[in-house]
Amino acid sequence: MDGFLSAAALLPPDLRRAALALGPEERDVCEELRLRRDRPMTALLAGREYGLDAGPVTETLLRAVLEAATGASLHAAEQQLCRGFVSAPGGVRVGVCGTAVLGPGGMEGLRDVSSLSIRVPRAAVGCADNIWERLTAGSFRSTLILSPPGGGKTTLLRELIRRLSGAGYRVAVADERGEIAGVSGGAAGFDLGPSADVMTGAPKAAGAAMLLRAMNPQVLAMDEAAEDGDVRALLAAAGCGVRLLATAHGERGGGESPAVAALLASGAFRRRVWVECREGQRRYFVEDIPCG
Amino acid sequence: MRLTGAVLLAAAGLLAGLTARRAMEARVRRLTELLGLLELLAMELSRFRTPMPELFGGLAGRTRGAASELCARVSAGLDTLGERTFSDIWAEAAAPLTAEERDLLGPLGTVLGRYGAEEQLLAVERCRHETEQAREAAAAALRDRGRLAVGLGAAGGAALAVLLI
Repeated sequence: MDGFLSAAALLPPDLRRAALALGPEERDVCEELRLRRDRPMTALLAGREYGLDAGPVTETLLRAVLEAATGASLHAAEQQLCRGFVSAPGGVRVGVCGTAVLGPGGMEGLRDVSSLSIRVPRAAVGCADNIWERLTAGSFRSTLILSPPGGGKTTLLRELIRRLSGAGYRVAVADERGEIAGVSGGAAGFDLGPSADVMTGAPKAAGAAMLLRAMNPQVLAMDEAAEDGDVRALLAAAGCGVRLLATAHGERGGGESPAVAALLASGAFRRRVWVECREGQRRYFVEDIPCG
Repeated sequence: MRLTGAVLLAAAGLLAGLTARRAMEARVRRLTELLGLLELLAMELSRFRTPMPELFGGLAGRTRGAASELCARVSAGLDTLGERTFSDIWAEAAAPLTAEERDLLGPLGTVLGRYGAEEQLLAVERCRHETEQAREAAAAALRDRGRLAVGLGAAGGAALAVLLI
């Protein structure tokens, strides 16, 4: 199913009608549908939010979206919810804001949901055409994709996985949020090529370790390496001779998070791709990372 | 002719008694089936956090009678989730149950799938407790009044038959 339709399918009928009233061109550039309690729903189009023609979002509507996103199974998504998101069918990710419920072990839940951000997944086939030859000159070398949130890292990652897999690399994908492959009921919603193996739902570090043990990958792919555990898992894979393809938050010319700094300093990555998004247009900049 | 009428009256009385007893037996059986469903539901939620579509699809095959039919209706209704809320789907699936069963299980529809596992388990446990009490009451009624119903039916039919003769 089209990514926009997958996202809109989570909305209750009235909100869905408002979303589907967007024209084809607007749907093509729609990045997110955002719902905030007591405010009208908005659509994020090419980096700007526009109000949609629907009444204020109520708590009941927010709950209905979560119910649709989880298949009426909030209990099965509690761990994800504690990390601030829910994975829905079709590779749709729903970001959740509300009041955190804290317990002795940290965050135990989320109540009084106040905002939802429904991310529209995209399969941008061909988006890596301009950088593909550079990334695979000689052979594919470990690559880190960097951009600010919402910059299009996951879209590029998905396309590179598809291309690498099509080129014969065994690509293991640690897809914690189900966004990369859009797996639903065991079947991938996005084409990741003929030789990609996807571990969905497991925390990235644990998923990566399982993939390394079980699937003998040539390339390990991971979205948003942000925590120490993710970095350790990537470095462990690199130490085993597996090439890496990962994304992380970062801005060209801006600072780096400690996790990204650690990844770059490790020497495990040989190239980085900066993604810049201006007025809905994405540009990619490839840089070699000098050894040592 | 009168003799035939008398026999028919006696038989009708006996049949009415047997029907009343069968209704009592059916009530106990259905409540037992629903109790089995609630126990499985609690186990699946507490141990496996099974998502609802998978849960009710599986339970339809693992439960019997009224419980199995209820699960099958919920499972089929979940295909329309998004168009309708789980609460609506549950209410529609529970509609063919008896009024007593709907009173017992109906409130679950507002909790299942909507809250965390602990809250759902509390609701299922409360429902299970009330259903257990209803089943015990139904079993006691069957024990105390089952034979009485058959006896009264037979006696009433016989009395009418005698009067006719």
